[in-house]
Amino acid sequence: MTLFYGNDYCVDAGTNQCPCHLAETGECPSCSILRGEEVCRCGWAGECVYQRYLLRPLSPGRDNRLQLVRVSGYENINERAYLLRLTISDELSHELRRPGSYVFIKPVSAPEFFFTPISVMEVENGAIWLAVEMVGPKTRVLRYPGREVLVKGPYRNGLMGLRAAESLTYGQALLLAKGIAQAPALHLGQYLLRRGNDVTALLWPGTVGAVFIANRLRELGAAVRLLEKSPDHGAREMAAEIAAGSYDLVASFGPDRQHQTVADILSRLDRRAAYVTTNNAVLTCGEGICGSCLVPAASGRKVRTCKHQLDARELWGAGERLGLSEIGLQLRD
Amino acid sequence: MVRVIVVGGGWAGASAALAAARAGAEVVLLEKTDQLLGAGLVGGIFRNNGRFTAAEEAIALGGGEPFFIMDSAARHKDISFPGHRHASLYDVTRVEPLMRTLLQEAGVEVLLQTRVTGVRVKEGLVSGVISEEGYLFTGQAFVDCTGTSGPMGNCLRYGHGCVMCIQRCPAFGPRVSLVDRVGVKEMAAEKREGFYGAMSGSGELSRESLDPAVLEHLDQDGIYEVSLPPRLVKGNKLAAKACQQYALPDYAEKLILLDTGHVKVMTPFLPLEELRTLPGFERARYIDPYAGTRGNSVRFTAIAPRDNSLLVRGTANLFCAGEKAGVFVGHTEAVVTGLLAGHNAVRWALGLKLLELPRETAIGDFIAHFNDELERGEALKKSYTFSGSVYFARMQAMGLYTTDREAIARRIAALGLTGILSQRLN
Repeated sequence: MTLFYGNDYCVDAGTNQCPCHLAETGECPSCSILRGEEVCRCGWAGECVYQRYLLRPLSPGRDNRLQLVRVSGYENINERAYLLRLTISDELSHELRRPGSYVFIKPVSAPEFFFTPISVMEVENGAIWLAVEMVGPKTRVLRYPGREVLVKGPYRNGLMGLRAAESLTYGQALLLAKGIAQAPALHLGQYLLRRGNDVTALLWPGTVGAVFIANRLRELGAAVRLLEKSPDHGAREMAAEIAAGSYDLVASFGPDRQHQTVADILSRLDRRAAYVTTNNAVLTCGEGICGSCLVPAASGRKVRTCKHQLDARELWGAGERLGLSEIGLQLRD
Repeated sequence: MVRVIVVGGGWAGASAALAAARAGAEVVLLEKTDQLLGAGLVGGIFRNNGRFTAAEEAIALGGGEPFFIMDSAARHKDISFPGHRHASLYDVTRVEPLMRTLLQEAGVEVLLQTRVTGVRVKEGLVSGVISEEGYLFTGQAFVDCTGTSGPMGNCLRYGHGCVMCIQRCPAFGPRVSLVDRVGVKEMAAEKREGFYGAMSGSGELSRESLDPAVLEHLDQDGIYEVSLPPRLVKGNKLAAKACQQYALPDYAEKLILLDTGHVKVMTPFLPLEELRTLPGFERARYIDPYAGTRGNSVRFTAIAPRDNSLLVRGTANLFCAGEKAGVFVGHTEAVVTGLLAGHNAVRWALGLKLLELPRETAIGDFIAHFNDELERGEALKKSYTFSGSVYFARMQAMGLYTTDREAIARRIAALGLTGILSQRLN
């Protein structure tokens, strides 16, 4: 079976960062004309990217995401992870309220290649909280960042399946979050709760070795369950929860293996919930240029996951590799 | 019971849905905007020249209901204007609710603001279409009536930008072609080397903005003509026009208005400040396209290859109609192709032989002639309509054009096709 989705779009389309360099190199994910085709065959419902390009080929925010910001808070989670509060511009904090947002960050004195992508955990007016797990040099040097850091943002494609996540109101949502991916889970959870949704969260300590969003999620009104590490990586508990509930949306925050497992569960249980996952690709430039985020989707095509927003079902091969059908599609009969 | 999904609720899609329902199918009609009839909401001209023959043939074939709706909503019947005889003008403000009611009475499930953006193909067959919201609509056969105008990129590249036409892409999203989504390469009309599409040929002014004397004329005669001062005569504009039946010198030298409920201006676009220099038009305002000063919608950028039963080539159960089926201009053309596509979708689902209308009929010849011209490599440089230009000339030469209703009914009867489109097939 082959699914042809028309729903994929560029996460930056129509934003202050559009058109971007890909418009000039003929690789715009949204616009077939900018890709060199003779006629327009886009499915993007929003401000026409080609028009933006004709009117203003150099978008104001294209090469202008950098800010020098103050570190206004620091909390230790444990010896492996910590939280940073950064005071940023109001405009940037407003942009980062979108679930799936992330920023690149590095100490002021570190060279350019120390910029590392970190998911936004919580947003205040003019400030953000980030959770950082020390996995290598870039995250290690941020432990004692100094009074100021350099931040580049906004970047928007931290989640796949954003359209479903952003449009759900008064529904039932399940968050399955492990390790450092609890940070974007809190961000999405908060977003969903504000829109009148009931949110249930299953949290695992993961490689971080700590659950650090449980209290905040409870405060906001979510039902939270804390789970221990298990040999099946939580598959049994996830399946039991999905089977017991009637969720409109299931969001998986964790490693690729977990995304695959959840896709499998949804399909085996024939649950038609919308599916949202973290984007686990290696993000180096965030601008669609370096190629580190290229991922083969189930249909075989390679997509730049720093820009390209696509259906999590296509990304995780639901319906293809697993022999599954229509996860997340509601059958109209 | 077989299930047919029709995508696109213009005249082609509405007629396809109706024909499929009459043939006995359960039908779902999906439309991206908030109203049916698409460009038909800014149209109104029918039964002019060869369209009379085509409408009467459709009636004799059993597919007359859309024309009965148009007739019942007509503000003017049997009027003439330059190059066109025995035209009727339907009221664009009355025809849509009538058609919607007819579809609902026929049992068609009409879903508005439901834009199809994806398609599911299983073992070489289209098995479902997916809406923007992620709903899956399954069926046995599908009809692509998504038209060929827009998306906005085409209006920018081959027109003068988005002029806020009735499609309203920025609000409702652009059409998404099923044919394109299943991977069949589409064709675009080519006005000159490397320049694709064609601009819609008319706009509409609000009645309230015109002088009562102009309106009085329109109400009485259905038509109002004003000679344009030489500085406003732009003969070259005719070449770009989609509606070649109106690409006559008269339409360049005069401003021709028709009464279709709104006031139809038979020119692709005209700057408002120039229009307002004419007596009676000092307060004129466009209501379609909203930026009629600048331009009009660009169409014919996504035509499907298809056979004469309107089955899309390279697919097994996907049919097409309206502009999707050729460089076809007009509602009559959309309706007759829609009827055949909808009817054949049911035939396919039931395993019956697909219907091709014989060349002794104007409709059958029209559909087949376009494919002949495609083979000759000429079709995409022209546009085709029963009402004028190259195809009306052919109709006359072939003896297909007549306004004798009984002769048309006899012609259809002699072919054994009387009422074929109104028969239940299961």
